[in-house]
Amino acid sequence: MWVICFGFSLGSTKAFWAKGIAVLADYSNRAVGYFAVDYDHQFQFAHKLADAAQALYARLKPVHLGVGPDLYIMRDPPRRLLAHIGSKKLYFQTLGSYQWTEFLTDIIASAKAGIETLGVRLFQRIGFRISAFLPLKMTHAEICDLAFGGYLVPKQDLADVAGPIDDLLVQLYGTRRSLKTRLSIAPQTAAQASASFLVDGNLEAVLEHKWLDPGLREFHERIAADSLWVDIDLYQTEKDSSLLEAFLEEAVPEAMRIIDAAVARLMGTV
Amino acid sequence: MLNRSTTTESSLRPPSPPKASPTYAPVYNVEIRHELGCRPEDSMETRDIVVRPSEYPSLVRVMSRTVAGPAQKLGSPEYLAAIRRRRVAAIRELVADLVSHATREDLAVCTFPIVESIRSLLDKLDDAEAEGNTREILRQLRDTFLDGGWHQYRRPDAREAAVTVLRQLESREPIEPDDVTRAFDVLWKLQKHSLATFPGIGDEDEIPH
Repeated sequence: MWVICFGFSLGSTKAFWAKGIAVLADYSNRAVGYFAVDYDHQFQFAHKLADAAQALYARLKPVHLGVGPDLYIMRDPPRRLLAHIGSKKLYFQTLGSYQWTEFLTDIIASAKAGIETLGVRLFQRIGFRISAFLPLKMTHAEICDLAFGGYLVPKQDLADVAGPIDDLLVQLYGTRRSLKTRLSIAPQTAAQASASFLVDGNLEAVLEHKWLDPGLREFHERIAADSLWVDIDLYQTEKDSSLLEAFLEEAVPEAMRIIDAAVARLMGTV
Repeated sequence: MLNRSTTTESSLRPPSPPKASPTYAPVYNVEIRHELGCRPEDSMETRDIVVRPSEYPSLVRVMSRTVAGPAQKLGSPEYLAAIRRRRVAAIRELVADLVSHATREDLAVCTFPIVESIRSLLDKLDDAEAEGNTREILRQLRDTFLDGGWHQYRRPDAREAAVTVLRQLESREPIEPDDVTRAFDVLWKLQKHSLATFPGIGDEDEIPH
């Protein structure tokens, strides 16, 4: 049985700090993406779930189909994509972020088909998240130092509350147009990046064979280095289900823009 | 220096066991020192040590010490480029802000923080191998403020010239010798109008590469 959790990531090797370069376009293979819709369970969902899964399957065309208790699981290793639909949640997860630009049309169409067939009218929560491990060719100490003055007040101004600071985590909550935002930023050592990636669940589901497919191991090797971790979560609550497409069309580019802005602020290219 | 390990060879020879102690075990002290550089890279070094036969069990004590201080040094080209862009942006704002003080008799008071900021940035970039051209441009700009040169910054075209040069330092990556030439041209035109100083003739001996 698959255990479903949440998480994201990015990846490549270009001078993305030059103005106008989209970070995720270069670092898609160092990011993980998530899209989740939560809704209230209804009695009729039990009867409609199979039809909803079939509708989703017909549009997503994944390679593998699985069935769990109260949910259907679709795995598409070639696209490093996982989807599941259940009586309380619709969920997509990707290893990499390119899927959210290359296959966004398929994802939207399949999600809409599943939700409409299930008869969901109101979303408790709809959210899109990207988590990226960005190699900046700097040490953890350097990234940490640049965070001061970039995201935080100068380091010396915090000396009385924290003493010599050697690590940090910044979390910013806000609203951007119709989207609630939660942005987390942290310098990470190789060990920290590895640990934070390895707690992410479900990712083995995007492998063709969890023992033979090296995709996950190679991804882990790429991100296990001093890096800047940027995690952006965009969401709405209590939304009409007809807004699913509009949400994704707004949230996906906005997530990438925010990541660009976060990196630009650190690198001084704002 | 990147990862480097050393072994204290002198301690490899086992001492002679004292005759009064039949259970004495020879002790081999091997000290390994790992010195991490400011640009950490993985490396491995092997060292063969011959432990001579002895009547009693030999004790080999390996002490591994990691010297991590240099690894915390803030000196990678990317880090220093980010520092350059940030500080130059701050200096540019200071120069642009001179417009509100242009008629003050004591304008030098307002240009002093600019000169100090440039000097501070020069100091920060002093050892940066990839920022030699940046240092040259900064020195040229600094010199335009010296020896009464600050007077010219009452004029809008002077301020605009400095801002142009600073924007170049913010947006170009990397800073090339051509950028030094362009900055010189801009500042030279500026100097021709009034000046007491000549850009590029400073008292430092950094050589752009």
